[in-house]
Amino acid sequence: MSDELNKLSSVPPNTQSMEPSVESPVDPPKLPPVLPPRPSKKKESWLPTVIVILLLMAGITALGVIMIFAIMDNGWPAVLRAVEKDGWEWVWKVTLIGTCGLFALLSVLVTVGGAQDIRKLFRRLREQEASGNPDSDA
Amino acid sequence: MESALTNATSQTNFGTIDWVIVAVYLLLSVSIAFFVKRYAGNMTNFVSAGRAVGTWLGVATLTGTEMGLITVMYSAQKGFTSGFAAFHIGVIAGIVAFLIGVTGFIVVRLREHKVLTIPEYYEKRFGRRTRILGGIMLAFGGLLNMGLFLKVGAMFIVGITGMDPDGSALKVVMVVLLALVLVYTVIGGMISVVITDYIQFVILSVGILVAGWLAIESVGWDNLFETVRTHKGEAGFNPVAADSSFGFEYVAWMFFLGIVNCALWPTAVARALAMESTASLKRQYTWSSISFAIRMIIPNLLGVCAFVFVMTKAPDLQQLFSPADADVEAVDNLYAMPIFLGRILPAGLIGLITAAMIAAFMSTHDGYLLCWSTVITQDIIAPLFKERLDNPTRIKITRILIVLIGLYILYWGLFYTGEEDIWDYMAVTGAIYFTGAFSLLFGGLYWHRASSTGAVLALLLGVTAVFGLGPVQDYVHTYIPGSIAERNITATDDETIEFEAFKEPDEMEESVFRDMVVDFVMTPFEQAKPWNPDGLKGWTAMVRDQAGQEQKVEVASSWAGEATASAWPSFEPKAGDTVSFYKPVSSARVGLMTIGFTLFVFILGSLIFPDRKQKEATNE
Repeated sequence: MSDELNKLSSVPPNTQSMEPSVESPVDPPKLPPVLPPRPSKKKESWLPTVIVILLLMAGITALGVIMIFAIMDNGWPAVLRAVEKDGWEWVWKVTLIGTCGLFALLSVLVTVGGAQDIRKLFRRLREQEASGNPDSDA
Repeated sequence: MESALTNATSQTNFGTIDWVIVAVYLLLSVSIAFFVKRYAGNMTNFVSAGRAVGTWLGVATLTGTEMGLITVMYSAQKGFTSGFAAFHIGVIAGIVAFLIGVTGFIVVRLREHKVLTIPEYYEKRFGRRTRILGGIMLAFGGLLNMGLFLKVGAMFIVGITGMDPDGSALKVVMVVLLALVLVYTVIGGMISVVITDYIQFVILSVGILVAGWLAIESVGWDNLFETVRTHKGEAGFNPVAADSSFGFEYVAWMFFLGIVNCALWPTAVARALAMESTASLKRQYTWSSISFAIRMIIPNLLGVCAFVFVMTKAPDLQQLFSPADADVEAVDNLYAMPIFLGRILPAGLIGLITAAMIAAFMSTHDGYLLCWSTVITQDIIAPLFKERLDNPTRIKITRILIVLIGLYILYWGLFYTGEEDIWDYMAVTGAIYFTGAFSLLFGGLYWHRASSTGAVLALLLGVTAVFGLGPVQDYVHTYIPGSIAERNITATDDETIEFEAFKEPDEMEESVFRDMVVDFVMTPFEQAKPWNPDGLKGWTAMVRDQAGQEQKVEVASSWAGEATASAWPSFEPKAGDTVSFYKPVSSARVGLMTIGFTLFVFILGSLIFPDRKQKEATNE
């Protein structure tokens, strides 16, 4: 089914030449239609990448600081014994706190960004409705 | 026991204000469907929201669909039964989703093909017969998979609101919820689905974080870990501990299920195909990896907290879920988490959490209903009509199918009485589709020699995943390699049955064939040594009386000529009855074997029967 739609969408939106027609006894060779200039590709936002890198760095730093304090307070052997004894417990504690923190941050980003996306979605749907082309792709 | 459950659920804090919150939310959801109805006029808009969904909305809708109430319930059940060790499922899911987001494995190439469904890609790559067969397999596995969603979701609502679980409340809740989901899915299609998913994400994210916080506060942070350590030992934390209910095999299976959930499962892929660009798609998956992890971890946590609450703060619930008397049957532990939340959350907040969970329930159902109905319309019905169906007819058929599938899940929820663990049931039924689909998508997108014959063989072999279901293994147990054939019971004594004694076989001569082939093939199946003391301990005994009635029981201890059970569930065996023994194969092992087998057959079939005209592995 989408093949049909794709065929429709593969027709360029504005294929009519803008040149005035000139009468000639001989038919001119058929020229390719003049297409409107391609819209320049929107530059990808760098913000999400920066946020991910910052979060990773913050997480690694926090873990490093915790380890340094633990080693300073108790010494290496004690820390190693604790990891051996309660290693999994600590893994799940860090996982729980870390993922909940990330999810809270994600919730804020999605709440704000999602609202803007909904506005854009309706704008595009209205445009598609007006142009009659249901399968335009970004 | 039933009245004890009713008594347990009735002690909830759910009040009038909570009902108002829930009602307002439900009205909002339905009104959105009417608001967006005018945009759902063509199939691309109806199914893929015009392929105009931005990154953040994509994250919301992917999370909304994948964090269903069914997920919350079975994850809580895993936390209740396995403790913190169950966290590994969420962690693996998050890691796999992140890797797929970074690499775009499968999903980006699928999006580039601009298909609406996965079987539509099968047709582009392998031809029409593969599409129809793929559509049938997908619909079969998918519909079985969602069969228990409605009932489990209704169990949560009954448990948390304090309705009577023994009366007709469960059925009424199922009907009302289904009607609401049907209305806004049928009317608004994917556009209403993504918008309601967004609202649901906002409510759900706040609700689930607050619920997690309050759950920890109610049992105490230190007590939480201490109680799990006391009752479950190392297995409560370490998923690969010797006495863990998981093990390395299960962890490997979870890795594969992580790929399935992100890149193969049609409801998630439908969200990927609705994205405005492949860059947005990759961002959607990278960010959603947090949701893929949290959707398991917080419900696991709620289950662990419910376990600690039951064990340390609620003796009445302990008697209900973990009775001291072995003869008393425990209540289904799916009720543990909702009853726990009903007791610890204050009025007002409990309404918000319930609305969030109903949001999770509805967002999953709308996504699944839309997905399976689209697959049947686009990949089974339309190809059979040789693509002569126009858009309005397709939308009409899809809408009719949504209603029919809704009625089916209502029927399945009301009348199905299977006893499987929900997570295993879902994994196995899903595997009917995804074991074959993995070969087709992976091979089709990345291997230019993949052929349509190999594809058809792989799809058909995916059905063998059904052997992971307990009732199916019971039915064919005599054919499971390593099982012990029926033999007559000669005498009985309470819980012990006696039969002709097993004898240790003579040492066999060494054989290259046996070492290389037979031992390799038999590796996944346990071989009993029944002539040894307790050689059959942990095996399943299937006892059949002379009237043909069967019962199965786990062997508690055994000797060469006798086996003892802890109790007979249905009838007392007599001399003259028969008994056979088998070791059930875990669903994880069956799943992994099916994947390996389908992939092997797919490669072999493609090499032996290549297509006359090879198609490109990448986009055309």
